[in-house]
Amino acid sequence: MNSALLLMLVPLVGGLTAYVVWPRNPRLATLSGALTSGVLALLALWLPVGEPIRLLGFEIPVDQAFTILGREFIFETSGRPALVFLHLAGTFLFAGTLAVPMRRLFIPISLSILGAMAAALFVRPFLYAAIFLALSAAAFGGILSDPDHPRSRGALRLLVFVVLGMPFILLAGSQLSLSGQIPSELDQLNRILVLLGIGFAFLMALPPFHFWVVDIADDSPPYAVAFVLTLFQGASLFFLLRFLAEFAWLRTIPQVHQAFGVAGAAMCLMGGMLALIQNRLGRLTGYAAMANMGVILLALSSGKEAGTEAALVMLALRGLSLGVWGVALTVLRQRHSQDALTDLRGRAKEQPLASMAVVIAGLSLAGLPGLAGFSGHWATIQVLGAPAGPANYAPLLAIAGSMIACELAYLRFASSMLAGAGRLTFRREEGRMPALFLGAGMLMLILLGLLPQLVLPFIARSALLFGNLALP
Amino acid sequence: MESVLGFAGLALVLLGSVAVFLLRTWRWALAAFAVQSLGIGLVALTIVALPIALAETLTGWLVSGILALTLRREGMGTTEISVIPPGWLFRALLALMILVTALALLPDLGGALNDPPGPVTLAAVVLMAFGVLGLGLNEQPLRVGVALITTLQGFELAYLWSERSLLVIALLAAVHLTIVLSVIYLSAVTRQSLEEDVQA
Repeated sequence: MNSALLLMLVPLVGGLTAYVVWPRNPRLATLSGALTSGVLALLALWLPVGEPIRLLGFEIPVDQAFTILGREFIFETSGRPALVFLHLAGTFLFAGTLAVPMRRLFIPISLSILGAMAAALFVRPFLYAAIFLALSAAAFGGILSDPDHPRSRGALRLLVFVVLGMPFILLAGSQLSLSGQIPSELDQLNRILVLLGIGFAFLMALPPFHFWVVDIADDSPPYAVAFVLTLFQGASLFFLLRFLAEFAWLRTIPQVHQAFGVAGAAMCLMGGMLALIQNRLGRLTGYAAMANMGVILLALSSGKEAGTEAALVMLALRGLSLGVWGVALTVLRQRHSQDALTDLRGRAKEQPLASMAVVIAGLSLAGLPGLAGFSGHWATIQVLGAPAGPANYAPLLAIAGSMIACELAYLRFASSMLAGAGRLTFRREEGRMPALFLGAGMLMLILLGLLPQLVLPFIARSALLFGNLALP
Repeated sequence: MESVLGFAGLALVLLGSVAVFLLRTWRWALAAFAVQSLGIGLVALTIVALPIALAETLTGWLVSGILALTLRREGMGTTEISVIPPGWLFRALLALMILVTALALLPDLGGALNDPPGPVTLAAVVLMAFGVLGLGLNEQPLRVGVALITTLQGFELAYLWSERSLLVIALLAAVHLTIVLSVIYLSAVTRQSLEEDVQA
C-alpha cells in the first residue's frame, strides 16, 4: 500500500462516485463526498509514516513515496497537519451542502481539488506545489459559476491571478540553491526575493491582486465562496509556511518578516475601511476575509513559533465562520436573489435564523469578542506583544481598526435586517436542514468564542509539525 | 541547423502572437494560435529534445482544437466579422510598442529567466507580453483563456531552459487544458444566461 498515492487517488474516486450517484440520489452523493473527505482526514491523521500497519495480527507494509515521470511524491509527518486541516474543512463544507444543495459538479470538482492539494503537499521538489495550486484555481471555475450565478468575473480573476503567480514562484525556485544555502550574490538574492514576493502576492491575494476575493464573494454561490476562501487560501498559506520551513535562511532576513507585516497591515486597513462602505453583503464578506488574511500575515510577521500557531488558529476558525456564512447567505438569497442593504431590509422577521447566522458568522470573521474568530485575533495581538516604539503600534492599530470597521459594517446590515421587523408577522421560512445547520453553526461559533480552550491547543500543537518557524 | 530552426520558430511566434492579438475573427485567431504553437515547438527544439518540443506544440494545437470545436458547436466561430477589426490601429501600435520594448529590454530580461539563448528569451518575452496585454484588454472568458495560455506558453519556453522535468511539462500541459475547459464552461454559463434574458 502506498500512503501518498492513496491520499491522492481516493478523492478522485470519491468525486467520480459522487458524480455518478448524483442523478439518482443527490443526498447520497453529498454524503459520500463528506464521508470520503472525513475518511481521508482520518487516514491523514492515522496512517503511519515509515512503518507497517498492524491490523488484527497482520502487518501491512506501507510505502510513503512513489515516483511519477522521475519526480517523487512523499507523504511525510510535516505534511500531516495541513492535510488533516484541508480534509476536515472539506468534510464540514461538504456536510453543509445537505442544507444548501449545490450543483452536480460541486462535490466531484471539490474532491478533485482536494486531491490536487494533497499532491501539492507531497511533490518533490516542493516548489512544484505552485503548479498544483494553479491547477486547482483553474478547476474552481466549475464551482464558482452556474446558471443561477452566471457572472464569471470573480472566477476569471482568481484563475488569472493564481496562474500568473505560479511562474514567479517557479522562476524563483529555479534560481534558488535547493541545498538550502543562502545565495552568495546580493543581486541574485534580491531577484529571488522580488520574484517570491510577487508570486506570493498573487497567490495570497495581496493588494492589488485581491480583486478576485471580493468579486467571487459578490458574484458566486456563497457556499462555493466559503470553500475557496477556506481551502484554497488555506493551501496557499501552508505552501508559504513550507517555504519558510524549507529555506531556513529566508527567516534570517528581517525584510521578509517586515514584508509580511506591511502586507498584513495593508490588508487589514484596506479590508476594514472598504468593508465599512459596502452596500452588498457578499462584497462586505470579501473585504472582511481580506482583513482576516491580513491578521494571519501579521501573526507570521512576528517571526515567533507562537505566531505560526496564531495563524493556524485564525485559519481554522475562519473556515468555520465562512461555512456558516455560506449557508446563511445562500438561504437568504433563495428568496431574494439580491443581498444589497436595501434588499435585506426587514428580513429578520421572515428568515430569522439565516439573518442571525449571517451576522454572527460575519462578526466572528471580523473577530468580535465572545465569538470563535476572536481567539485568533487575540492570539495575534498577544504574539505581536507590547510595542517597543510608536512605529511598532501600526500592526496592532491595523488589527484593531479592521476588527472595529468590519464589525460596524456587519452591524449596519443587522440593523437593516431588523428595520421595520416590528410591523411584520413573525414566521420562520428556512427549511429543516438549513435551520439545523445554522443553529448548530451558530452554537459552535458562540461555544468556541466562550470556551476557546476546547480546540485551540490541538490546532496550536499542529503548528509544531511545520518545524521550527521561529527566527533563529 | 539549430539556429535556422530557432529563427524560423521565432518568426512564427512573432507572427502568430501578433495575429492572435490583432484578429477578432475566432477562426483566424485560432489558426494564428496554432502557428504560434508551432513556432514555440521550433524554438524549444534549440534547447530541448524533440519529444519535449513536440509536446509543447501538440498541447497548443490541442488547446486550439478544443476551442475550435466548442466555437463551432456554439456557432460562434463562423460569424463573419471583418478580418481587420475596428480599433486595429490602436492594437497594431500597441503590438509594435511591445515588440520594440521586448527587443530593447532583451539583455536585462535574460537574467531573470536564467539567461537562455537570445531567440528563446525574445520569443518568451514577446509571448508573455502579448498574453498579459490580452488579459488587460479582454473580458470575455474565451479571450481571457487564450491570453492566459499565451502568457503561460512564454513562461514555459523560458522555463524549459532551466527545468526539463517531464512531470513539470505534463503538469503545465494539464494546467493549459484545465484553463481551456474552465473558460469554455464559464463562457457557456454566461451565454446561456444572456439567451435566457433575451427570451424573457
